[in-house]
Amino acid sequence: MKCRTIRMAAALAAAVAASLAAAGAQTSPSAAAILARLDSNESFKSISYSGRMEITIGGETRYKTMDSVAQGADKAFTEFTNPEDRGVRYLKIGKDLWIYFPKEQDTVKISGHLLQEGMMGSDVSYQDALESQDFLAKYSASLKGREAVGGRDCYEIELDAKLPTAAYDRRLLWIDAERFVTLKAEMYARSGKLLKASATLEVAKVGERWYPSKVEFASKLRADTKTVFSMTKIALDAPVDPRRFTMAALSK
Amino acid sequence: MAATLAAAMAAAALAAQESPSYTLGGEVEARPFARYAGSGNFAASDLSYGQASVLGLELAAAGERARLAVSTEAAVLSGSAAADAWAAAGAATYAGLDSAGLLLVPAYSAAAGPAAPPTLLEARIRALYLKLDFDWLSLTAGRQVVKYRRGELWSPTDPFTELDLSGLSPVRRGSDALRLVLPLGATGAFDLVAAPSAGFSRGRYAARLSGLLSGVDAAAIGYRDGGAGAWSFGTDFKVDLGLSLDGEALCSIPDAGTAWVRAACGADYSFGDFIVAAEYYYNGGGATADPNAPGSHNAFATLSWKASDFLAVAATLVDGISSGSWTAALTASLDAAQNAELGAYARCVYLGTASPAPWIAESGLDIKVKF
Repeated sequence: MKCRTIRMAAALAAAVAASLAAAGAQTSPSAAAILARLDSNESFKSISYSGRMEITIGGETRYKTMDSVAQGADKAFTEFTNPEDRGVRYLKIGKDLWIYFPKEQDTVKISGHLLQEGMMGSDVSYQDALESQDFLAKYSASLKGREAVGGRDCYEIELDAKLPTAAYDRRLLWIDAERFVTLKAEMYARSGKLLKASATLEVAKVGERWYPSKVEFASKLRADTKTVFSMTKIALDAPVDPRRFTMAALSK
Repeated sequence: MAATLAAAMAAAALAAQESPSYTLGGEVEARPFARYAGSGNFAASDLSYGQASVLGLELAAAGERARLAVSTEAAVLSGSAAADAWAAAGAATYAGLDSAGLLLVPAYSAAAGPAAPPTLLEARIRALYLKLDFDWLSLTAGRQVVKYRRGELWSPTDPFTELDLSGLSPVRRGSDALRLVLPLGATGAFDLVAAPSAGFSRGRYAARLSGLLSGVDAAAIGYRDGGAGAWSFGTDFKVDLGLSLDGEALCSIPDAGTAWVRAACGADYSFGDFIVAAEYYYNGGGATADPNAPGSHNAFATLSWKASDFLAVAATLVDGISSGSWTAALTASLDAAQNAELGAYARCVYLGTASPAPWIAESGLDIKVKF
């Protein structure tokens, strides 16, 4: 039962997509300026969307669908809509995460030691979803150079953790030099071991911005697995009722 | 029951006015098993087979302010599964629909004797409630699960949820109640619940204050149990210190007699692909306070192993230290396909020296498809 609880997932997708597919950049300027430009493109006051998560493990694929809304990087609410998890809801407030199971009418606070587990069996951990998008606050950034990713010119940015609260000790980001979205990212442990990687498969124009709408994540600690997360009906910076991010909303 | 149905219909009407969204889903489950029950000396008559085929349906209609939820379960039981239901019916001395919302066809009759019919139909209304949500308060009426648990198995501060341990994992049954919740900030609430039962004086009435304080989920509760003739006051918490810790304590003061205390504490931790959890439960009230764990000292431990991305294995031990009974179980759960699970289990139960047939060994499958 506990295992099932652990595997249940929140696509707190705002945090996930923004967190793993991170940071922005602009031509030639400093890494900080590139990240600032990325943030102006990818960061949001609020986001809502319908999401689909396809988890592939050794040729077997499972899917999860969800509706999500998030406010900044600290508050997110997700309700799953696929048959297996229909009505399961996630609420994230800061570093705290609760899950609501409708059949049991039960709300459970996720234990801290479980936050590194993959959500819903995916390659995205609770920790990934909970991490703030503010890279400049947690990492020192440097521009390593330029490199083409999928035929598009990208800035390669290296982030080194300067705070113990950072989810990873080192990150590499490849940021589209024209659209300022992250096209590729790699996350490393202190030992230098590659832990996780992401690749943006599709980028959508939302209003005046470019936004990664389909991202593939792969945990390098698990063999032959990947998770493709896609978003539709994306709305950025639309007004969101703050009561969505309360315990009362979980069981509504 | 009539009031619940009336509330449900009112909810449906209300929800219809608000262009609600509807969802209908459920699951089909088959649980075949083989069992030995005896003194420990094997005989052919001690072996039996049973099967439960279960259909669960869940309907929800939600508008802006109102929500109607219906959850039902119907099972065709044969062999030992039918015998278990028949024996439980006899123990509860009920006929037809009882307070737990269980319907047995054919209905239990003491005159029919202890031998169960070879096949039974068992139906249960798990939930049937209307919830009205306003900005400053929510009101829920009908059959619902009012769950105050912190621990995995034992929750002395939870007065409304009946624990059903007959299945592979604990199931908490709902109760007919009226619940009023006043949210206090984003994570707090003041909770009032009334479950009048057959008469007001025999009902249960509770007030609970809960919230997240400096990273600690904590609550305080006071309730009156008219059926037991006692007032109870308790507190519970859950906190993460790398290791996750939870605890509950409850003091019950009967109208006549001596007060008793029940308390539980637990911890869980994960390392690699393993999760370990343990709980201790002290029941100072005996069988009257908790028929599931009548002994003073009880322990529970489980070790889960994520063997692969689709397969989880767990070993569990529930030890009634004072009563001398225990249950050990090994379960495996396979995510067999999209929306389909396959479980297998083996468990051994020792009922204690007072039982003439203290040993039960059982093994079975649990096949579940959700839609």
